[in-house]
Amino acid sequence: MRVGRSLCCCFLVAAAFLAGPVIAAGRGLTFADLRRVASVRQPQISPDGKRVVYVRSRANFVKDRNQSELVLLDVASGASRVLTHDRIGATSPAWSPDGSSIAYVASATARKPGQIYVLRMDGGDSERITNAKTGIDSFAWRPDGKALAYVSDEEPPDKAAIDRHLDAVVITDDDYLTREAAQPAHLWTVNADGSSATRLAAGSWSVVKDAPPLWSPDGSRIYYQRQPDGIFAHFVAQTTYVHDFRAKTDLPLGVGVDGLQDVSHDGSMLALAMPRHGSLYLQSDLSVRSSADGRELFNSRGIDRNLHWAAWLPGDKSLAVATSDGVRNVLWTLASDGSSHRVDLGDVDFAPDATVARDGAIAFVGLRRDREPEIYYLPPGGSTPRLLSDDNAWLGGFQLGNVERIDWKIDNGMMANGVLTYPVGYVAGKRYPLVLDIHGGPVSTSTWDLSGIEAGELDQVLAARGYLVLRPNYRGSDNEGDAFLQAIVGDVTSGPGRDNLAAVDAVRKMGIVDEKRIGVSGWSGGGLQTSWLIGHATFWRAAVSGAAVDDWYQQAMLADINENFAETFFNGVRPFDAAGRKAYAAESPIAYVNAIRTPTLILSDTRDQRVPVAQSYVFYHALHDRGVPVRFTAFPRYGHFPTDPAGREQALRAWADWFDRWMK
Amino acid sequence: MKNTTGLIFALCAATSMACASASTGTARTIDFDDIRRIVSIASPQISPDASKIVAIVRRADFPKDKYREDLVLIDARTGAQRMLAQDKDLGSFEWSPNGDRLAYVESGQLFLMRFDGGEPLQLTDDDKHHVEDIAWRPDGRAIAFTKEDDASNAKAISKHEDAFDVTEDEWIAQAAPVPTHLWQVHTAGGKAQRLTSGNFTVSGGFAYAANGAAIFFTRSKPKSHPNKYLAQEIARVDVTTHRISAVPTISTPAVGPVRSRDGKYVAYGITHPRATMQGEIALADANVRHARWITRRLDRNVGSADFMPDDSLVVSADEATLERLFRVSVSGTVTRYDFGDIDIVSGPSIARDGTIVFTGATSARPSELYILAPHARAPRRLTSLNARIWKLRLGSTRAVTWRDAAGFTVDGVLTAPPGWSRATRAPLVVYIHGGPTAASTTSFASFPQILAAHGWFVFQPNYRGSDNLGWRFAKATVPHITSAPGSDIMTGIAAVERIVPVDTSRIGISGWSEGGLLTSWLITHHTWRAAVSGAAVNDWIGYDAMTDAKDFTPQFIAASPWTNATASAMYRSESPLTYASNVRTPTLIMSDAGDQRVPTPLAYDFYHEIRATGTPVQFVVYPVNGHFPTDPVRREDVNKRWLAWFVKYL
Repeated sequence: MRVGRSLCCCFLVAAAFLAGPVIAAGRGLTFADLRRVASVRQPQISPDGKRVVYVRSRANFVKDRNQSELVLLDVASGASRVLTHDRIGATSPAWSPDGSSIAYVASATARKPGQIYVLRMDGGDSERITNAKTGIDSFAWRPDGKALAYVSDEEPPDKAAIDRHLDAVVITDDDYLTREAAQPAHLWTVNADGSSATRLAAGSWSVVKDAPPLWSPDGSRIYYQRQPDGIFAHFVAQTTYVHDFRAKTDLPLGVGVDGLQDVSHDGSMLALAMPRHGSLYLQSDLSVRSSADGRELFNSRGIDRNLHWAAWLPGDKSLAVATSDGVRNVLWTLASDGSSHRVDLGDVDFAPDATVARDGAIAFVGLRRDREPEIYYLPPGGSTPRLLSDDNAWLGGFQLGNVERIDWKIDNGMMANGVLTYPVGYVAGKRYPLVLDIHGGPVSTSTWDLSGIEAGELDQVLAARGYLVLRPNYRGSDNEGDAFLQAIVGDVTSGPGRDNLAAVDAVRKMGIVDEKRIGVSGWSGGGLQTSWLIGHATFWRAAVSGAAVDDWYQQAMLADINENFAETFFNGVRPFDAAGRKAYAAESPIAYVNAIRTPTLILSDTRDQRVPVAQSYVFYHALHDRGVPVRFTAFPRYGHFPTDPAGREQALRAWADWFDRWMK
Repeated sequence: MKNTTGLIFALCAATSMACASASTGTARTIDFDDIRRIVSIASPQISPDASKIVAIVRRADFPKDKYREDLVLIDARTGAQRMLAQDKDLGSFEWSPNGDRLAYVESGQLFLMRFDGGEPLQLTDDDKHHVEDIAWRPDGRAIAFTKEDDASNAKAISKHEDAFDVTEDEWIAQAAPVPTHLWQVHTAGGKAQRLTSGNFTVSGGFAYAANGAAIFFTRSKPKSHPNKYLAQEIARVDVTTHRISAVPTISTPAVGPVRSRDGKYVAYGITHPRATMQGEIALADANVRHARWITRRLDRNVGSADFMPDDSLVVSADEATLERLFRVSVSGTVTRYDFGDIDIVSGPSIARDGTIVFTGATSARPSELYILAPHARAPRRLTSLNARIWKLRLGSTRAVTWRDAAGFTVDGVLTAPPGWSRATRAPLVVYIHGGPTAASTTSFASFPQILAAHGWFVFQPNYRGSDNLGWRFAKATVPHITSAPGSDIMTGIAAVERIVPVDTSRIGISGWSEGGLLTSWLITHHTWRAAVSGAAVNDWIGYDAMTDAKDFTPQFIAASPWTNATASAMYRSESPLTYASNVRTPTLIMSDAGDQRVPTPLAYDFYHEIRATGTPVQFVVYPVNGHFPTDPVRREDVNKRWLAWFVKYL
């Protein structure tokens, strides 16, 4: 499970590519080079383990779209071929249980919502099998392969009135950009041939929109996640429900807030992500429970890392589990006695984007320091992954900056770690300008692989421009266990702020930093840290604060994650009395603008629902009025980061160019 | 000449106006159906020979959810009407200097209509940019107009490289502002010619010099963001060489030059030297070299103005509880027109012989067209567009005055329920105007009448900051933009309670924009039976950063909330949000989703605060941009929800 709703931009998605000129060997990466990135995701291994289908997307700068296609890989020969052509937004491939066809979601035109298509593997064009008015949120094959379950949003009940412009929206926990009432999503079933689309149950409650339903192996039940209504912020109350076709019941599993991961092959056990402290914003552990009564059988507390993904292995005796650990994404096996084993995959890190075949083989997105993410194959029980896809061979001609892990002590006595990227052509003994690239979340991790456009990729471009780049994992990161993560609660900005300053000191002590040229940057939670750090130290030469939480109060009032997110990190304190307001202000960068002297670039989408742009407006005017060199560049888009190729590249260029302007 | 610096956020309540001659039954009270049928007439322009008037007549079309606009020709003697353009998207229009033709903008393009036969001639053809303002050259052979440029980075934008730098932009901005520039087109036809270009925007209001060789125009100061509305100046462009030169105005801002009919003078708008919120007029020579401030003795916020044959000016301005016309001579002496209880709605427009037309309303009659012949004592009503309203049993309206805490004699408007008799106790609804540079007047106001028809007194207070008592009063709200008006409204309510038997346990408080601000303020400082707070400035710091009215807080509070502690404290202490946890009044909050003037996030803040107190609160958002819905369906919905909230809680 990827919660993906925290203050991070989770850019594992998309990347770029256009056939470019031949590259001179040995130079570092530029943004123009990154246009060639092919991003790979959602590897689905066939039930027999012989083939893998995955989604590959490349940037089309002319249409300003990420164009995706389904690609089929033959595990034995490594041969690959493209399965789909001009299927807009092709995503979420899923093998039918017998492996004879693949269902996926795509749109007929760019403006139409996605529908389910089924592609037979014995020839023929894809056939659209749904006509859901609002499109498909997620779907799952029934184990007999004769039908599918899918999740689709309801249309507004008062559509006729809305058409007459009687469209006022009553706001509760909606975000500040809301222009229509949130509608719940419900479960449907449809036959594989497209007939008999039927809604299973309806009400003001909602199925969690991005959580795919799971079938029991006998097809008699569907497990799904339910939240109280369609309002986004209320996903924090999600819990597993069981729709029983025979008993005609729809009942909660009764385990409280959880995240559904997988059903065991025999149907007797459910793998759930259970938040350790009741909140999905904090650490979740894997909890295996009886599907009959919800009783816990074993859990992953021994691993003590925030759960990213889990799936049953054959025989139902163990599960594959993905988490961060240190500066890496790793794979574990968790046995039914609660013991765990970290699988040593060598240089390859394990992204939480994987599937398990019937024989236990795993197809996954593998990450490395020296490669773009590719699809890998891990044989049953093995630990040596085999590279299957080769979609970024172009990268071979480039020189990358070396990437290392660094460790330092933080002021609560714990150790923190981070990723240090050296300049391309680094010469020992020379001092280099240092840039911090701070991750968001805060519950996430900077890992050392070359993935993430605002992470590994950006850092390599900066390294090519001669910078040392530090990505610190401050307290609250999910790479060192619950105690390290929980240390941020009640200390949401200042704790990480101290950790990040300590990280700078640690790198300084290495004697490689040009002390006069240290810059700081980050997006989202990393923007928050940037805005905070320039108010708490004056040695910064330049700062790039993207989509920053500059004011926790406004964040709580306006964001799609609403009051609950801030409350979680303020340890339950609400901002509605004098003490609460004071607490929120004390942890907000806007309260310290008087101390800021650092030339600052503010970046934001114009319609950011996650970190409301209102905060960037206020922060800009505060710096501007106080005579601090400041520029506020906005991207006219909806969302928390530009996801289109042109928007993304503009944001990253602005980011890197600001350091060149002030630090070169 | 329209003063563009005032009315930062006046409430644009649905006071649309008039036709429907159908007779209704006897004394029935007003309802929403009646308001739907109100016809409005606006922007009257009399022909130079005083024989006819052109005006725009608007009717609400609910099925299409738009206002239907007709360009109507009205005979100045008989009042007979003829449709010139029916159900069109109309913009500016202006009579030719000799009155033989009418230039008008339809669907964004400039047309020329003759009055001796023939179809209108289309003078511009630009599918991307709309013609905004227009002005005839004195010889009648050319017309100057303004239209927007292409974005300077249009090519990059087409490649989606559309990032822009935010400076003084409003929070909903999606692109950098694009400048508007001056063009000229010959009335015989041909290609329009660009007259100005550069890093400023022509902000409306321009006039040819008497010889037609130059144009005096209003522009934003070069490099200044158009949202800095006080940074406007007048410049001169030579029509032949396109050379732009500065014009030495007596103060800045200076806006909206208008040439007198004989060409001897150019008048332009300035602000009061001690109160930038009050619009004033300077009168300059033909070359705009020397000017005098001629409205000093008038001491009112000047609205519109036009020249009389003797080069005196007739101007409109609020005075106490009416908008009136005043005549200001070249030497600055002031004569007040007495039109009884007629409140000026739009105009004046003046013919060569001094005939004046305007639209006006009285307490019982929505706006109609009036004409005042030279030397006549009283204006004559030329239209009866809203006769059906006249027959209704309306609440009676009167002005009330009281003394406020600062010693000003403040006024307001009190409407009693229809048929109210002295003895009956009734609840009170306070309905507060926006601005603050505006005033509530005694003229027909549709929604207050609806409220009164529900058996409530309706009180529309003016307050320190209103523009109806001169510059000292308009400025008296500085820097206490919220608390000073709040205090005046409280003393005003006490005055109303002394005049009529208010059921003091049932008082509702409401307003939009600055009226919403004051509602939010009053519910954080007192407890009422119910409140409706629309598009309220709940937080001045957020407002300052996100509004499009970028000079407002510097004008009314302090230069910046960020540069010194005193100013910062003032921004906070004048913000309702600072006291929001005190609210115990059931409150309906409303806002457009994309309000560029009073940023929508401020409503979210206040909603969350009230909700946390456990006080009943509902927050309704209209999925449109703007400071108030502009379409009839949503406007009516605002008023219906406003009413329903009071029905529920009063």
